[in-house]
Amino acid sequence: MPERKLSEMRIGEQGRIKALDLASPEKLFEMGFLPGSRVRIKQIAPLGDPLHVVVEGYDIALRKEEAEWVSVELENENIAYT
Amino acid sequence: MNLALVGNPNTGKSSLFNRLTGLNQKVGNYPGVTVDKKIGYFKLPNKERVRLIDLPGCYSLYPSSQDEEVVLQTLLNQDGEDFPNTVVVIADASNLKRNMLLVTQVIDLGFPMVLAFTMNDEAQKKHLKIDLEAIERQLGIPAVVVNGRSGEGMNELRSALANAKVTARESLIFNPKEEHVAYIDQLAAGLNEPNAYKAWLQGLSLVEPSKKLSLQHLSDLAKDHDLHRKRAQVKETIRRYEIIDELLKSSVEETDTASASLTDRIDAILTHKIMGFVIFFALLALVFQAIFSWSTWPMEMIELLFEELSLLSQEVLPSGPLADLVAQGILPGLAGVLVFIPQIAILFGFIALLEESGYMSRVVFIMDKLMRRFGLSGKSVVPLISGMACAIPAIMATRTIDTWKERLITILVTPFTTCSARLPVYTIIIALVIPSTEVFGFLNLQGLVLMAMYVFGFVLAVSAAVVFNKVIKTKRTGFLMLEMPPYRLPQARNVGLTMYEKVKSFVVGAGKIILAISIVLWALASYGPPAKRAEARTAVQQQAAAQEWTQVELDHALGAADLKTSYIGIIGQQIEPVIAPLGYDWKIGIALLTSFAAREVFVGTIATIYAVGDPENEYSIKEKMSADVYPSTGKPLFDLATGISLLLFYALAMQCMSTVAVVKRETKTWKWPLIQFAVMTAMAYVVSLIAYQLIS
Repeated sequence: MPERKLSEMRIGEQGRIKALDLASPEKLFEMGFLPGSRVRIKQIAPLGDPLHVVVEGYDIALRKEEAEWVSVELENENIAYT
Repeated sequence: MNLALVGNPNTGKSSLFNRLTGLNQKVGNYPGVTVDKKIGYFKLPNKERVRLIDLPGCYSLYPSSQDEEVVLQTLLNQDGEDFPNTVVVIADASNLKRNMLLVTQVIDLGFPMVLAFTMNDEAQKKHLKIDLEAIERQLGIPAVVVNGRSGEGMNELRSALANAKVTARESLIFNPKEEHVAYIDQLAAGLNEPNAYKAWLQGLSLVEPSKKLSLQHLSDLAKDHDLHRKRAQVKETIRRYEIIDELLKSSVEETDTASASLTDRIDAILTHKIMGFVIFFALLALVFQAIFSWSTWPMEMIELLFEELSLLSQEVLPSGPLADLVAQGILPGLAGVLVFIPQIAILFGFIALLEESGYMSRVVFIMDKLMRRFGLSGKSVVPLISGMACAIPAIMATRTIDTWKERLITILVTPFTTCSARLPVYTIIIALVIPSTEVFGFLNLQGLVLMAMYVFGFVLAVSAAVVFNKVIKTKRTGFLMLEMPPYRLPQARNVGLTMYEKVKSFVVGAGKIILAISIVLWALASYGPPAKRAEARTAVQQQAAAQEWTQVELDHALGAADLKTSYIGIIGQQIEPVIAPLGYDWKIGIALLTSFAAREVFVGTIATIYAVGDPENEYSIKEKMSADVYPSTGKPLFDLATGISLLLFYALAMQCMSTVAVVKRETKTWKWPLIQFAVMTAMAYVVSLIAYQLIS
C-alpha cells in the first residue's frame, strides 16, 4: 500500500491514517485525526490551500501545514468524486 | 435549576438555546475574559424555573482557546455562580463520533445530565440511524432527539430534564486511575476530590489552580509521576475514541452510499476556481449596496425624529441650562449613536444569514491562502467586512481566529477600514471641496472620491497587515481548523436574534461613551471663563453700536465671541500652531479634538460651532462653512488642500475611544491599543501634512 502525507494527497484519494506525531497540534487529535481513522480529500481550495477533508464522515478544512503531520496509507488511487 | 448547555460548535446549540428561552435571555461577560455569557430562563413541565447558561462551543474539555477555558472553568468551579447542578450535552448526530469525545468527558464529570441529539435530519441524509435505547443503556443517561429549528423534541427534552439523574454507570468511561493509580490517589487526596476524572483535569492544571493545591505543587506532582501534560491529553483522546468506536458499533447503523449530496453540488459552484470568487465579490457588492442605500431612509428618519425632539424639548422645558443640555447635548449625542442602528442591523443580518447557511465557511476556505499572504487568516474576512459598518463588533468577531498572531493583526488593521462613522465626515468635506462634475459623462466626481476613500481604507488595512506581519514575531505557526457544515436554509428566528443582539451591544457599548462625550463637549462649548467672556461680549456690543449692526448680525457676532472664549474655544486656539501646517484653524482643531472620542462627532461639533449663537439658522451649515474665510488673508478656510488633508486625517487617525477600549479588552493589555493609537495618529499627521503642503 502506498503511503503519503495528507498534505500531498489529491482530490478523491482516501485511506487510513497511519501515524501522527505526538508533537502535532492537540486540535488534530480532538478533531478525530487518529491512527486508523479514514480520511478522504474532498476538495482543495482554488488557490491550492487549505484542504477540505472528510475524517470519519466529518467535513473539516485544514491548512497544508497541519496536514503535513498526518501520514496516510492510501486505500485506492484516482477515484474521482463528483 | 441551574442548567448548563454544553456542546461542539455548529451543532445547533444556539438554535436550541433560542428555542428554549426565546427572548427571555441576556448576554453578559465572564469575569476577566471577553467571552460572551448567554443566560436564559424557561420553565419545566413541573413549573420549576430553569436558569440556562449557554457555554461556548468546544470540541473537548481541554481548552485551546479562551472560549474553551470558560467551559472547563465553569464546570469545575463548584463555588462559581454559574456552576450547574444539571447539564444538557448536545451531540450532532451526523458527526457523532467526534461529538462523543466531549459527551463522554462531560459524563465523567458526574453531573445529572441529559444527552440531546441534534441534526438528526442530516444524519438521516447520511444514512445513519441511532438506536437511542442502546445509547441510553450504554451511557447510563437519558437521551432525546431534538431540533431547535423546528421545535421537535422540546417537550421530551423538558420532561427528561425534570427527571435528570447522575449516570447509572458504575465506573468512569475513561478512568485515569487505570494507568496512574498512585498519581490520582495523591491528587484526589490533596484536592479532596473523590471524582478521579475531575482530579485528573485539575491536576493537568488546565485552568486556574485549585485553591487547595498550588500550581507549583500540581506540576511537581505531575513531574514526580513522570506525567507530561500534552502526552497525557493526547493519550486520553485516543483512548476515548477507542471506547467510542466500540460504543457506536452497536448503537449506530450506517448504510453509507457515497453519493454526491446537494451540499457537494453547491460546493462545486461556490468554491469553484473562478465562480467562487465572482460570487463572493458579487455578494460583497450587494452587502455594500444594502448598507448604503437601504439604510438611507431609516437613518434620515432617526435624524429627523431627534431634531423634532430637540425642538420639542426646548419648547417644553423651561429655558435655561437644563433645556440646553437636553436639546444641544443629550439628544444630539443619542442621535449620533442611534443613527448607525440601520447599518449595523443590515450588515449583521447579512453576516448571520451567510453564517447560518454555511456559506461563511466557504468564504474562509477560498480566501485563506490569499489572506495569509498579508499575515491574516481566512477568518479575518468577516471582521474586515464588519469593519465597514463599525470596528467594535468587527474586533469582537476576531475571536474565531485560531492563531493569536493572525487575530492580533486583524484587530490592529480593522480600524483602517472605512467605518460608517467616517461616512458623515467624508460626505460633508467632499460636498465642500470636490466639485460635483460629471466624469466620463456618467460618473459623479464626488461619488468617485467617496469610493476612492473606501478603496484607500482597504488598501491601508492590507498594507498595515503586511508590515505588522513582518514586525510581530511569534514562535507558533499559523493554524486553521474549520468546519465545513452542510448548506442549510437560514432561519429567520436566529438571524433576527443575532441582529438584535449586535445592535444592543453596539448601542450599550459605544453609546455610553459617545453620549458622555457629547455632554462634556456641550458643557465645554457652552461655558468659559466669565471675565474673559464678558470682556469679549462688551467689545462686540461696542463695535455693533458704532457700526449700527442689525439684531441678527449682533447675535451672530456674539455667538462667535462666546464660542471663541468658551473652554473648548480656548483649547482650540492653543493647539492651532500644531495643526496650522495641516491647513486647519482653531475651529477645525476643536472638531478634530472631539473626534478622538468618535469620528462622527466632527459633524456635530462643526454644526455646533457654526450654529451657536445663531439659532435661526438662516443658512445651512454647509453654506456657512464654505463662506468661512481666514480673517488674516481672506482666503476660504475649506479649500481643496484643507479638504484633502482632512479626508486623509480621518482615514488614518484612530479617532474612536470605543475602539481603543474594545482593543484593550480583546488583547488584555494597554500595549496594543496604545501602539495602534500612536501609529495611526502619527501616520495621519504626517500624511495630511505632506498632502496639504503639496496641494496648497
